[in-house]
Amino acid sequence: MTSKPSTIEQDVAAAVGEQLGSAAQVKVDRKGRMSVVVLREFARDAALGLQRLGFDHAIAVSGVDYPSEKRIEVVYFLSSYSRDDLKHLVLSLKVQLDRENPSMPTLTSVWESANFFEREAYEMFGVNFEGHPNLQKLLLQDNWDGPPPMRKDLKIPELA
Amino acid sequence: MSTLDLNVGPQHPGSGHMRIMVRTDGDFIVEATPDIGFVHRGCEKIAESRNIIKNIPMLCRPNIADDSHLNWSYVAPIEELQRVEVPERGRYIRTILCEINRIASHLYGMSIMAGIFSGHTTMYMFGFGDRELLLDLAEMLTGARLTFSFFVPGGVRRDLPKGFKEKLLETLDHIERRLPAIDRIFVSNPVFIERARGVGILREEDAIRLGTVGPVVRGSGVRCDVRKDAPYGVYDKVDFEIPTFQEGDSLSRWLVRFEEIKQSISILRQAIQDIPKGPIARKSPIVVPKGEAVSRIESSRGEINHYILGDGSDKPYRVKMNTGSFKNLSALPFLLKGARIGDMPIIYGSLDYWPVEADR
Amino acid sequence: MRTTSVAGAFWEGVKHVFKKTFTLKHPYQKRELPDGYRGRHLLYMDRCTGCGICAWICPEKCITLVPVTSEKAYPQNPEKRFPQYWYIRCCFCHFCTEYCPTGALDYTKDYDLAEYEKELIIWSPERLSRVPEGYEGYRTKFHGWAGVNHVPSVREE
Repeated sequence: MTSKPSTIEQDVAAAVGEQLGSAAQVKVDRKGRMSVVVLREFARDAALGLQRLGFDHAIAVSGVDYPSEKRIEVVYFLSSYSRDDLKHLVLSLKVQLDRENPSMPTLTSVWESANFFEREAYEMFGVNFEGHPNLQKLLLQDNWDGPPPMRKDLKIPELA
Repeated sequence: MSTLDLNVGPQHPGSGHMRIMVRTDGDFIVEATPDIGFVHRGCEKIAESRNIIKNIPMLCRPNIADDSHLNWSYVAPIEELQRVEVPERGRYIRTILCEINRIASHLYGMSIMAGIFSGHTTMYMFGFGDRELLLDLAEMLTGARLTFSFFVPGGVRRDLPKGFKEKLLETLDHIERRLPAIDRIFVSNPVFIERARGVGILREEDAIRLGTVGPVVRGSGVRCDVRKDAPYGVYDKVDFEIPTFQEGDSLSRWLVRFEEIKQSISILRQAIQDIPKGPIARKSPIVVPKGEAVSRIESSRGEINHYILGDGSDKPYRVKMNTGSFKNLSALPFLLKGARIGDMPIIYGSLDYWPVEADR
Repeated sequence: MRTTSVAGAFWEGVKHVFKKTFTLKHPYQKRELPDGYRGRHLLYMDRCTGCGICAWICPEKCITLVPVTSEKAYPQNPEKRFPQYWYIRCCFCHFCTEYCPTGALDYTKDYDLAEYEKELIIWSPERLSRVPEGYEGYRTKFHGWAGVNHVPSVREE
């Protein structure tokens, strides 16, 4: 069986593997979707490396709470404006954080659009972004003093 | 210098359901901070406690003028996880409803900016009057005027009724005849041009740096549209163009929407001609298999993403929505800095910010 | 982009004084509603088995199954449990109509449901089964009965 020419996803995976080595686990799901998993310490290096590769558009930031595995994951979805061959691709950069004290360096200096997205992750999951220019509540009311709402501890009552 | 703090509050015709805290020095704005969250209902948290079919009407409500795009963006990751493929006719019907919705939503956005915010009630009446015909079409297909909830995982809920094709072509002819009238009264009107030309200029490098999407970034010269970059539905089978303008001011952003209406009319004409016969839906169980998926859909205000994580039960583990208005929000404080107070409604209207979609 | 004078734009607006208006003088003139309009529900008590799928799928939990006290016997529904709708919660999505396995619910064109008293907003099964004026049966005429998972048996138009 002849080998198929490598797709753009595999090229990106190879480039990321070169830059970050064993600090990042890269996985290609299908055409147009891939993911890179890193720990907190390598988040900034991974972000700068991906920006150099051409990913200059942060389309969303989401937090996910895994209480049984005692971690919170912050996922950055990245795509590209400038490189035509990367425009169809969505790369999920997943940063694993400890659930007791989730804190990571901010990536606003890399992608400025992540400013409002990180504020939402801060108030909904309690993640502290070190170095963020204006880390305040965005959507919740000012006198909210309960736990971060999107964590699984807060249960909302069923509609009666 | 002494400045005045002005509160353009949540009940104000110039701000929608959000607050803009403006600091002015005379007539010029020194700093503007948006304060959003007045219509936050916790859609993502509620979605974790209902099964995937029950979530459909709730997750479509954040943008009622543009409901089918939010709906498609929610069911697409579920179909990807369940490995269900929508049949050909179902995809054509989805595209037809989405394009009807795009024209209606652009008429709404254009009427608000050129009509309410700049004081010409005539444009408001023109846009909303023509939009009624499109809502009548949608009512004929789905049964409801605004909140369709028409897509389910696996396909669509109803087939095209008798007489739909004739009514669609008649409506498209009518809208095509109205567009030159709007052109004569607004696009070529020196009063409106004076109000919107050169106001709120967003250069290409700033648009890319702030991460804007939709007509905002296309009005600044960047060709960025999910329908061409990562085609879904039947957008790879129809012929259409992406209008872009180079100037980056409020008038360009308005004109992008104006030109997109013409492109949508052309897409609809081709789709209703080529639609094949066949089933409209495949059976799909009410379960979200383990895994995760992301969707990308181009709505009338920008790109929408839904990120759905499943754990094998009938309720999703995590639903994350990110809409075009929330992404464009970072452009608002940047554009208002240095502008005059009188230009604030025009700049705000040209971004076509929908507060409920941004707050969810 | 050509620029016209202000007079050209003004004339375009003045032309509309002589044209016919779009206005519909509601409530003296009513709109013609299409078939399949999502109004209030119609219950066929001869077909309902009291399975409760409509109550399970309702997004707003506005359907409850209540026992009906009447002399008539319903052989397909021995416990005589029928749905009751609380219309203040209903969002008129009609998932209940589509998911009903026996086709006991249908669409009507009634949309004027406002009441002065709160108790009247809860529609009992008998009130739901009253056939409105001009009703022609949308489901029987166009779509047949949809099974669970809503894939309809479509008749080609």
